[in-house]
Amino acid sequence: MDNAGVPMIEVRDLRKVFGNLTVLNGINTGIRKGEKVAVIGPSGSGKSTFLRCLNRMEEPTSGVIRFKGEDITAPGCNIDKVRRHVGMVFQHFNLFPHLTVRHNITLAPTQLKMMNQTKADKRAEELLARVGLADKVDEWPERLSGGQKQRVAIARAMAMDPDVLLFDEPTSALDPEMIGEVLEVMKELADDGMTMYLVTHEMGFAREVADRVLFMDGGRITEEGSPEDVFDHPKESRTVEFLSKVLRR
Amino acid sequence: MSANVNSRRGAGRGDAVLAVCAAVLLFLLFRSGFFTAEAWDDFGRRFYQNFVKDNRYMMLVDGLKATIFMTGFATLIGLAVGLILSVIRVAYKGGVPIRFLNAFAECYITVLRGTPAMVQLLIWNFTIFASARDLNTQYIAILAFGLNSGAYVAEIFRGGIESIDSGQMEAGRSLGLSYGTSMRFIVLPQALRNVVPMLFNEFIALLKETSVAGYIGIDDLTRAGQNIQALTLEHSQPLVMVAIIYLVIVMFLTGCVRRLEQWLGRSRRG
Amino acid sequence: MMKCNKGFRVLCLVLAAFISMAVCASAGEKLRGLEQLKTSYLAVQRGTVGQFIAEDLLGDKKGELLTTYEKYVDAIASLRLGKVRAVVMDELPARRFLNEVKGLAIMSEALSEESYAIGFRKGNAELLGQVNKILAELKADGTLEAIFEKYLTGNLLEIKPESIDMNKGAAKGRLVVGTEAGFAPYELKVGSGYIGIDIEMCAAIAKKLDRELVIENMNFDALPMAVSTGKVDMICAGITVTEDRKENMDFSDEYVEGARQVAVVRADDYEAPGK
Repeated sequence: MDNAGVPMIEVRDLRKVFGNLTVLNGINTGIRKGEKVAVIGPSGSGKSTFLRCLNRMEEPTSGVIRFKGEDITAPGCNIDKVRRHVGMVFQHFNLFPHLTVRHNITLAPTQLKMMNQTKADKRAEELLARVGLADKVDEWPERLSGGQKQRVAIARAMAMDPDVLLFDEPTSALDPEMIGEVLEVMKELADDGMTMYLVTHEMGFAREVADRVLFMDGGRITEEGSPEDVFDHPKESRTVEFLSKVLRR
Repeated sequence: MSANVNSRRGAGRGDAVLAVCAAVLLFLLFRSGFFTAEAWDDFGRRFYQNFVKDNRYMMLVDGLKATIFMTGFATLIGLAVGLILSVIRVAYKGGVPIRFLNAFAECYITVLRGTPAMVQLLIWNFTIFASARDLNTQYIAILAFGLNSGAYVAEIFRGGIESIDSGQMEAGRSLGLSYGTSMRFIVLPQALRNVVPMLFNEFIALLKETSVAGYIGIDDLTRAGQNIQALTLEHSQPLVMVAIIYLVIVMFLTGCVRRLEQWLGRSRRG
Repeated sequence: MMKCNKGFRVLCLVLAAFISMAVCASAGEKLRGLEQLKTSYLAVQRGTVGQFIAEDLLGDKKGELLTTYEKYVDAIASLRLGKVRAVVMDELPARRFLNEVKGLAIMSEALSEESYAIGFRKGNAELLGQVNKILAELKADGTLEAIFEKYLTGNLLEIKPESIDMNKGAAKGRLVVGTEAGFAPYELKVGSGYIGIDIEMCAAIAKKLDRELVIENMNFDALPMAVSTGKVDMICAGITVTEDRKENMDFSDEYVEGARQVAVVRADDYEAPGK
């Protein structure tokens, strides 16, 4: 349906400055519908900040971000409306501890009058079944393991039927034995054609799922290409150094 | 097994508290002349004079009603004002452009926390509402205590809201919920639950604070004791009785807080 | 368990210390005349004329020797505990203390004689004029005398507040009177109502004004504030007319003259002259 030439998200000359620290120093990139883009790089390279600018969790200092052609940094832009279509999954899950799993998922759709509670409940049960947690629908978040929490968080983001999902290091806070179950869910989403931005340290997963890999360093995208190009034939010395450190692990 | 040990230790602490209370009570009774030989015979007569004769205990009952009435409604005002002020301050910090409101809130909190409740009460009664003569003095007191309490409650709420991880607000916003909706359905319910014990303590403090209301002519519990004193010219018994009544109420409320904390702790775990 | 016991023992010690301090009493030369009061610890109710008299008496030493209390009962209690040697107050309330509380005496010489009047906001000439006219009538037709008679001869506590006609639902609105109802026989709170000479006199005044009498019972030192801000129409609480007070409020004609200010002392601390 979508014109292949019009990107889902388009970023032009994005800058972000905290005080006198320049975190993003001119980012130009984009993502097409159905594309999966992995963002890798050393810590402090600005990759999380870049991702958080895409739904304006961080206010960009300058630059343009277009979502489906609309400039979301423009003063008149209703950012809440944009965010309904841009899901986000956080490193620390950020489930609402005072709500059951069901209400974690149904809160936003019902509050935003997208569906009534009955419909939202049904949708929540479907999504939970999809992430393999059908039996946890009336459980409290505190009773879930880290992996289960992150899967609920993914279901919560999916409940809004977003056009694109932003994953901000979704497995970094997990115990190693739980990473697999979360990656599995993400892989299924990817296979179903979801558009995804993924900030991650899971190089194996990035290589397996991503259509394109961005390597960020010092607030810039220093290398960009297919997983094979970036992982197997990196051009920049900084990329080589980073990969050698990470992969040795 | 471990629960057993815990409960035994808890009982030990409870015993110590009771022992202290009993000791304080005995000391007060001693000071009221309870243990001198003639007073033993006298005690019943004086008790009759102070509380039984002509239904004088009703003065204490009416005073207690006034104290509870004032405290209750002042608490409601305090909660409402405190909630509004704290949300203003937190929202301003969160980037909502309400500079004027925030300045007002800060000013309000500084002034009302920085001056004694008694002085505020006098100002409300004799300056601001000086000409409002048909207004029941109790309503003025409720307003004064309520607005005063609001400043403290605001700081309690603010602490509660700021103790909630910023990720909660972010998660709400990332789903497309507005700042207000996220605050109302995600942050505030959690903050409220955290601050309930502190709010209860503020409520207890307020209960005791209302004892200065006699100054502007309200016959609250303390003043009722003084009225009995003036009636019977007996100094100790009415005051000790007033103290006991306050103590019983405060101990009851403190027990409620403890129960509430336990209940909250349990329900949080699910 | 050990720890708990230790804590309890410390507590007992502290209590014992308190109790032994409380038992301590003072001793010395007995009071004979007013002259000795100039170097004695004195107590008064805050804001009363007794305070002015005591301050004059003590001169420079008032900061050290004078304690002011919110209520007469507090002042008398501190006298009985030996914290002060005398309480300066009006004679009639003092007599009542003597009747009710054992071991008190009144020094035979009076400190001064005062007159009582009703206080008004400065410049409230209309009400002042009306009240003065009514006071004259009450004096002339014996009403005032009858009220004094009732309170000075009968048993105070047998008078019921319900027996006083507050003129409820009167046509010309309310007459709000500020008082401090701990000053029998002038004013006293009984149950939820009030009795006393001042109360009955104000009721008579209210009747003549065709207004409903409403009593606002507040602390004595808050009364001048209440009348000057208009919180109450007038204040009637056995208030002595003094030059200082005239600066801040207007007074009606006097309705009590020669009210003696006396020193209440402990009977065992007083040797009456001529004995």
